[in-house]
Amino acid sequence: MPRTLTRTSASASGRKVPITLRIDEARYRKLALLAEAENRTPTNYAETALLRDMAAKEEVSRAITMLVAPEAAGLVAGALERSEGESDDRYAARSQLFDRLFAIPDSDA
Amino acid sequence: MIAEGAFVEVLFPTSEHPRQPGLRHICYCLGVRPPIALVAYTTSVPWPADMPLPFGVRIFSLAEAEALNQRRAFRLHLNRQARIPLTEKWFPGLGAANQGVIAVASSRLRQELLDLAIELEKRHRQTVERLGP
Repeated sequence: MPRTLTRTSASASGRKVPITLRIDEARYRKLALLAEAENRTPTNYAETALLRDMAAKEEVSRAITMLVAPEAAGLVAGALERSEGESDDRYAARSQLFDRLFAIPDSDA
Repeated sequence: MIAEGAFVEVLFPTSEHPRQPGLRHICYCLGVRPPIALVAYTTSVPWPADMPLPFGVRIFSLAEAEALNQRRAFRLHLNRQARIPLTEKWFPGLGAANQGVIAVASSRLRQELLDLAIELEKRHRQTVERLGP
């Protein structure tokens, strides 16, 4: 008989919405073993696997995912540190790249 | 020290909690604009078999990983970056002598990854121009 896991998932507002997942006994036993190996509950393991899969799909759909620490958002970044022995041309190219990368907003904002 | 080319321990934010320090990962430092470092994510967790790898992911074989003081083959996701302050909250090894840096990329590898990052940013801009931010 299929086993049922009830799980809450985060919505855009942060509120968790319960969902029900039905899987057969054999798969549930495998799930329980996999979860135990990672010191997780079967429910938490299923949620993590789902979030990982969703994140991978999102990653494929956009070129760069940029996460910005809340503390970093309010800081003024200084000039790019030059690498040891770096040529002027390379430093200029990297500085331009950094200007553009630092202009990318937080993907999860 | 934490600078371009460093593979460094970072508490990289997770998808579940993108605004706080997450799990300990070895990340690649693209560079530092004090007091902020720009790092890219690495992982050894298998990629879903039915999904093509996105552009900007560099696969490191076991031999390459070992040369960078890592025990397992891994992927570097230049397409998954974080701007984080240079503090122990995000860099747990910052207070140590090596600042949590476990290896430094050769100049050839740094150049390869810089070229990849430049092309990736170009594609990102084209996507934003086409589809919006």
